[in-house]
This record gives sequence, C-alpha cells and structure tokens, in this order.
Amino acid sequence: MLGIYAYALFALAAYSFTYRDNVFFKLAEHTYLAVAIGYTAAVGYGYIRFTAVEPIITGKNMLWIIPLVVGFLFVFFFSKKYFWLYRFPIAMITGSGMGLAMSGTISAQFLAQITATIGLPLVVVHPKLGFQAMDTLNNWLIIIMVIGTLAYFFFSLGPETGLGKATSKAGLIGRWTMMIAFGSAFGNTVMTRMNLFIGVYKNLLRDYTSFIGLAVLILVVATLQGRREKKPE
Amino acid sequence: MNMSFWKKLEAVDVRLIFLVIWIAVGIPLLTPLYLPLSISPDTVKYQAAIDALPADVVVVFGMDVSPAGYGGELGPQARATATHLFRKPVKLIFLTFWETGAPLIEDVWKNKFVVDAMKDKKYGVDYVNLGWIPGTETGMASFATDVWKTLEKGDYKGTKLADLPMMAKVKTISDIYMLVCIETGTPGGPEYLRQWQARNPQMKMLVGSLGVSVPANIAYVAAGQYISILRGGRGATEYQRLLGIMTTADVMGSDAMTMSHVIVLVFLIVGNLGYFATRKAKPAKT
Amino acid sequence: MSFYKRKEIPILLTTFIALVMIFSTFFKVKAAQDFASTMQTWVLVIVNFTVILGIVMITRMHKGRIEKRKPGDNSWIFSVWLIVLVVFYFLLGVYGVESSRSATPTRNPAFAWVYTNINVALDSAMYSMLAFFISSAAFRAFKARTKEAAVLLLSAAVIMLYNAPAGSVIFGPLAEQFNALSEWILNVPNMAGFRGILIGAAVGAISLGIRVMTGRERGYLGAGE
Repeated sequence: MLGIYAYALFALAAYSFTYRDNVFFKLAEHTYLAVAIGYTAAVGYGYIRFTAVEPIITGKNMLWIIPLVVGFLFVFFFSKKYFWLYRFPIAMITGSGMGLAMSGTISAQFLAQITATIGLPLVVVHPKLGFQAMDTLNNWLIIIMVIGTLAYFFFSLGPETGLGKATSKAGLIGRWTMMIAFGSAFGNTVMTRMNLFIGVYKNLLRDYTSFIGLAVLILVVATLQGRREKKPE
Repeated sequence: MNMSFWKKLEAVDVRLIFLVIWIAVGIPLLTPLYLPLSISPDTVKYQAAIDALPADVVVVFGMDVSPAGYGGELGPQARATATHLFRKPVKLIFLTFWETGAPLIEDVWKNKFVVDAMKDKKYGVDYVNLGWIPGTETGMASFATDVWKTLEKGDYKGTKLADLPMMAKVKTISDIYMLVCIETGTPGGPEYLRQWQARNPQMKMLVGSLGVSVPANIAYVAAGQYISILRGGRGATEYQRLLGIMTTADVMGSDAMTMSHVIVLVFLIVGNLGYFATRKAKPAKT
Repeated sequence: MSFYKRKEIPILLTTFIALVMIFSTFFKVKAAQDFASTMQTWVLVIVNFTVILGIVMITRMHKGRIEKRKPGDNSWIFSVWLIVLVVFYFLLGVYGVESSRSATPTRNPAFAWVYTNINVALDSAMYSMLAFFISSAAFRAFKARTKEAAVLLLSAAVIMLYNAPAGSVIFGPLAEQFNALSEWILNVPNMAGFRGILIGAAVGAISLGIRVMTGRERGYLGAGE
C-alpha cells in the first residue's frame, strides 16, 4: 500500500507541472535526479566490485588492477594541474566504441541498406499470378525516393552546374518523401507518448483514494502557492 | 461560425486541453468499451517466427528498456514475448545493456501468464538471467567475442557461468540462434545489428520497439535484417490478442489508446479549421 | 608544455585502440582478437567510473545553491534533499550488492522498492508529460501553412488513425482499403525516406570516426592543449 501511495505522490507531483510550477514539482524533479544518479552509481559499483575487484581479492587475475587505476583517472577532471590524466580513460572508451561502431556500420547500416535498395526487382512477376503491377510500381517508387532523399543531403555540387541542377531536382523528390516519413514519425510519436501516459494512468487507478486524495492536495497547494506569488507586496 | 469564435478557441487556456486529455483517456480506463482491433501483418510474422523456433536452440531476450518505455508500450510487449518464448522448448538467456532494464526482467517473470508458461522450466537449465552488461556497443562486442570473459561477475544472482548448465554451450555469438530485442532506444536494434548480426549473419532478429522507432525499424525489416517488429503499443495489443492473453486491463488500455488518438486528431482538425477560417477572413491589403 | 601532457598521446591511444578493434573484426588473427577482447572487458569496467563525475558535479552545484541561499528563498531545502537522497540511495545499493554477493543492488528489497515505486513513477511521468504538450501543439502549432506541412499533417493523420486499434472502424466498409493505404505509407514512402536517412547517418558516422582517428575532432578530450 505504501508503494501505491509513493507511486501516486511522485507521478502526480511530476504531472502538476502541467497545472503550474509548484513545490511538489520541485520535490519530484530533485528526487528524480537523486534516485537516477544513486541507482546508476550503485549498479556501477556492483559491476566493478564483482568483475574487477573480486578477482584481485581472490588472486585469480591481478591484471584487473589496470582498468581500476585507469578508471580512477577520471577524478582528475577536477584538477587544473593534472587534467591531462583524465584524457586517458576517455581515449580508451572513445577508441574502442568508435572502432567497433565503424566496423559494424559499414556492413550493417551502409551496405545492407544499399544492397536492399538496388536488389529490388524492377519487374515483379509471380510464378503463378503473373505480372504484379502494384509491387513493381512500389519498387520503382522506393528506388526513386531513396535516391531523392540522399540527393537532398548532397551539398557538394553547386546549382550552376548541370549535375548540380539535376541533384537539386532529385532533392525535391527527397523533400516530399521526407515530409511523408516525418508525418508518419509524428503519428507514431503520438502513440508512444499517449501509451506512456496510459501506463502511468493505469497505475494511478490501482487505488482511487490515493489518486484523488493526492491530486486534490497537490492542486490546492499549487493554487495557493500561485495566489501567494501573485499577491503584491 | 464567426471569426471571434475561432479567435476565442485559439486563445483557450492550455490547461483545459490537458483536462480534456485526462477525461478522454480516463473514461475507457474506468470501463472497457470493447472497441474492435485488427491485426497487422508484422505482428503475425513476429508470432510465426517464434512459433517456428526449433527445439533446444539458444534465444537471447534483450530487455533494453527504460522504466518509462516499460510502463508504456514495452512492458506488454516484453510480457507477451516472454510468455510465448517460455511456451517453446528453447533455451532462454535474459540480459540487458540498459542498467534500468535489469530489475524489469524480474518484473516480467512476475506476470501471471509468464509464471504459468515457465512453471515447468528450470533456472540454469532452460533459462538464465545474466543481468546488466555495461558499455553499450563495447559491451555487445565483448559479449559477442567471448561470453564467459564478459560475464566474470556471473548472472544476476552472482552465480558463476560454470554453475549454469545451459551456458556450457554458449561461448560466442555463433552459439545464439535468435535475438529478441525489446528496445527503448540506444543501445538497441541497430547496435545489435552492428555487433552481433555482423559477426553471425545467420542470427535471426525480432525487435519490439516504441512507436517512435517504428518508422526507422521498418527499413531494417524491408532489408531482411529484422524478421519483423512489434509496432509500439498497437503491436503489443495485437500480439496479446493473437496469444489469447488479453486481460480486461489490456482491453481498457487498447480502448484508451484509440480515444487518445481520436482526441489528438480532433485537436489537429479543429486547430487547422480555425487557421483556415481566420486566414480567409483577413481583410485584403489596400 | 611537457610532451606527455599534450593531446597527441591520447589521440594516438584512441586511434590505436580503434584500429585494433576494426582489424580484429575483419581479420581472424588470434593475438589481435585476444587483445581486443581484453581491451573491451577493461573498457566495461572503466566506463562505470564516469558516474563519479556526475555525482561530484551535482554535489558541487547544489552545495553552491545551499551556500548562496537568500532569506525568503527556500529552494535550497530541495538541494539538501537531493544530496542526502543520492548518498542514501547509493549506500543502500552498496549494501544490497555486498549482502547479496551479486552485482545486482535490486536484490535488496528496500533498494528495489525505491526503484519500483519512485524511480519508475518519476521516469514514466516525466517522459509521458509530452503527451499533454503534443496535444496542445496539435491544437495550436501544427498548422498546414505550406503544401509540405499539409502533406506531413495528412500522413500523420492517416498513421494516427491506423495506430488507434479501432481507428479504421470509422471508415466502415472501406476499413480494409484504409489499412492497405496506411501499410503502403509505412512500407513505401516512409521506409524510403528513413532508409535514405540511415544511409546518410552511416556515412556521417564513418566520416566522424575518421576525423577522430586523424585528430581533427578533439572535443571529446576537453579543453586545453
């Protein structure tokens, strides 16, 4: 029961911002930051403790001292004299992340998507049903629209050249394609945000007393706070 | 309607709009309306892919979610997917690359349909929970190249991999048959593609995503990189219907989703009607 | 400035590690793969230390607010609350880790309770507030001022109706045709647009990687020489 009241208090305190800024919202935003940082620090501690520290304590693998020492170099971010030491752990994280991302991007995002586009059949014929007009048209549209979208972002050719003019006309197709794509992205964003709200609303309705009681309390306090702030001195 | 009506409408207090949302979404959450629901082809393909899983293959369940995503669209997706997977004779590895996803794996296991589906399964033999692996893409690459070296810490309870019988056969990404990723954002599907599928092109992928990621994920489905996706909250509802695990609360949620979309559409139409009405009524310049 | 303090050494380190990762992905040379694997597991430990920066910065900022408080302004109380809660929750997590002998602090029921009833509540509520702002924006801001905007809004309207589980019902006997149109919008123009964006983003990511490896992009190393 205490959990339900705590959930309702903090969720409604956060939502109270849509009414007006108030003391409950300030409580919510400070609490949110605190528990997020505390949680991240605790899980980080747990991982370091049982991945690196435990093998050192048991004598299983002393090499784990190296990443522990490198990790501690982060504290030199706050030192003017030894700031340069902070760059080493950053360099390791950036180097490994970037190298892995680059090697995977070439095959997974670049080649796969291009292959999928140019591999589309220009004439679709079903072995039993024969020529498929709609599928053929769709494939042509996809190829033209993908090229159009890529052309839209191609700024290297000036509009005064013949190729530049052709690129900018192709870019027009890309613009219209992206308008439809962003429209569908907006439609899907509405679904996500509404579902987030519905999820919280369902949890608030687990217990009507906590929901209505806390909502009234927060509204009254926020209104009184607003009136006090408006009153001339 | 004259211009002053549209001007008054445009100047309405925004908190009134918020109140309309609270009421419109709240009504179906108090009483189910049992509105109809059609099933999209992607959800049918998603279900068929899990149905077609051969026995004894290793499936990774990537619970890469934030609390907000889980509370909205991804929780129902995760619970339905876990129910379906536990009904199959496969070996399941639960893990996450989002630190917020780790406690939510255990929350999925508490769902009544999942509990029923996993009642004959034994931890360590049929399924394991490896918890959170940090480092986003670096963590994924590390897991792909050497699972045991990456999980020095053991599983979420601290049990070493040597004491989990099913992990004896899982050393690298080549031992994984399928990945089902329930993703909030980054790291998620594209990162798995770059680090896992790039190393094991035979590995199949299913993705349950937020609605906001669906437009981009469709490109990966079209390229054959994902077998299929669950499209946000709508996909979760369809999947629950297909599996026969839709509760009254889920029906209410589905109806509330319909009402919320209709309300936003009404706002969009009324707002634009007002714009066109006031635009036409502007006097001509002299 | 001393040589070892200059940015060139960490840049060389970044480039070396990146090249090892790329090499070990494409070439099956055991020594390179073992080195890359070890480096990856070390980075997984190092990356967790970044939270120290966050904690120290937040503590400094709110300590400053407490010290500079003015009479009549009580917002410093929230700064005290924040610092106390961070320390308390972290120590509770440490206790959870040590008592359960696992890397998972939520094995401690109290820590899990705070996560489930406070963290989840606040995270969900904060992100879902956009639902209200999207609704007010739909009413006030999203106007079809140009042809492109009109196309965008039309596409959004069709997809919104399609996403609503019962949305196609309003079309009655044409519901199936409406569903087919919506699927076409998602699978043809939407997919083509996002595919172009994905390819462009991939090119951008590769070029950024090359810029970092050649030392042209140094922002990640912080200020100074």
